[in-house]
Amino acid sequence: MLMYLSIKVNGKDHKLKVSTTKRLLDLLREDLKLTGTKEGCGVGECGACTVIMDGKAVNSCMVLASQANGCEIITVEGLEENGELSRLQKNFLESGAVQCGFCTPGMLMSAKALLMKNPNPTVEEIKEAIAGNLCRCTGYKQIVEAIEKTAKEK
Amino acid sequence: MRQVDYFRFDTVGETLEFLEKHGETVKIIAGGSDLIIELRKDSWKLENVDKILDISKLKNIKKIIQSERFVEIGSVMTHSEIAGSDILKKEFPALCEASSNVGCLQTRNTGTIGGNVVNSSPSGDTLPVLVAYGAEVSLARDQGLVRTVNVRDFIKGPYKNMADPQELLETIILEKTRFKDQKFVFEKLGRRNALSITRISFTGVSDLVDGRIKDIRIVPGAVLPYFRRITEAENFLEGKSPDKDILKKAAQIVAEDVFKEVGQRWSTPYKRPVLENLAYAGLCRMYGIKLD
Ligand SMILES: Cc1cc2nc3c(=O)[nH]c(=O)nc-3n(C[C@H](O)[C@H](O)[C@H](O)COP(=O)(O)OP(=O)(O)OC[C@H]3O[C@@H](n4cnc5c(N)ncnc54)[C@H](O)[C@@H]3O)c2cc1C
Ligand code: FES
Ligand code: FES
Repeated sequence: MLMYLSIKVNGKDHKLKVSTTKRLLDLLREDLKLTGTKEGCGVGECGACTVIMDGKAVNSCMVLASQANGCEIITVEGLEENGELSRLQKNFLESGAVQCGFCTPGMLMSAKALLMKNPNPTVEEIKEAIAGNLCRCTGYKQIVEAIEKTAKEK
Repeated sequence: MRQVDYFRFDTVGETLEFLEKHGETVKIIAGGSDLIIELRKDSWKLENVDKILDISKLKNIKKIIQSERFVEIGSVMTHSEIAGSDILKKEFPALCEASSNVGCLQTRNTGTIGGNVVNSSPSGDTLPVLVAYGAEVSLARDQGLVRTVNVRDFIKGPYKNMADPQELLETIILEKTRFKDQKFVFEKLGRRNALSITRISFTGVSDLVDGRIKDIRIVPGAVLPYFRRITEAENFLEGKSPDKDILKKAAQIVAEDVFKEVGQRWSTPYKRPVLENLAYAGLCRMYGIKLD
């Protein structure tokens, strides 16, 4: 079955006709061509597909697009500030938190969701927020540092 | 992905009417963290299903209310919401602990307590805690039919329960404990690992009056096909002052009792000491006794 849905992505309203069983991940990547959001495991275990839905980090492979009808989504493409990388993104680059980069969009969104709610997180809180984001390259230390640094700068 | 039609209504009433009309051909979806995996696998469990009914935004079951004696949790409250609820932190802290141990944050942000209960997995983390607190679920059906069932009885076995396809789990009802000094623990193996979900857990809740254990409830998770209190260990502990020797003995009783029921299997030599150690560590943490 096809259905119409309205969804706000990175501040822009969209009205789309999609299959009722399409995942939010596929809606973002295929219909809106926002390919920054990655698919790793497809079963909710790696966090590569993390986006922010109504203020909360969710795995977009585990949400149906139809369930996101009427919701507000932020993807990694929505992080830039005035056409430039955000402080968070710059700090990821500067701290060496990006190696192959596959986990980075999801990692950034988990970090962003945390900082939106809690501008001064402890290291423990940072680790908890990114516990569902797997990174095979960095060993997490640089990622935690990048998030900490961003919080301190604000 | 199994192809299904999608429905969502604004009220519980319309939702129940739809369920009554379409019965086995419709499957409820709340957070979807269990169901979407089934849909993707096109699981045989969904053989007759050609519709999904989204309940995740029903306002009437997305809240926690309390009266003098009871706390009622709407079934579509997410694990994140449960973990952060002040009412629950005060009255049923072990439940907050269990919910905050489910998967990773992304999963807790969508996965609901109702989904956890109705999925009825032996490793469902809220289930042993709900059994320890003596929780009931209220199952609603069209025409105002409602029945309340003990969570202990509701779970019939792995992935099996008493809910009919026409029923909606509306709320989870907990009677306040009236403990003076609530001691609690929810301990799970591999605590910080967002990956594995088949894990043994240990739940303990009790009062501590004048240094003595009172009204203790002990429920292990993911070791039996259903959830029950280990009354033998509870009776042993009742009235005693907790110390290491006593808690060690209680942990042995827990393991003995569980494996008497499970019987000897290939996994017993591995699981038994694991459960015993987990129970011991859990009980020590519960009463603030440091492990060496
Ligand atoms: C990566 C990952 C990690 C996980 N880790 C854990 C873990 O550590 N511990 C744990 O316990 N679980 C874990 N889970 C399982 C799952 O997240 C939980 O069981 C969750 O609580 C399910 O809730 P839901 O709202 O997503 O359920 P859904 O998938 O929406 O529904 C599950 C089932 O319940 C039915 N249902 C849901 N709500 C109702 C209702 N109100 N009335 C009637 N029927 C209903 C649905 O029809 C379906 O059959 C994990 C899942 C994933 C993907
Ligand atoms: S792709 Fe969604 S969690 Fe791995
Ligand atoms: S940078 Fe390669 S997976 Fe994280």
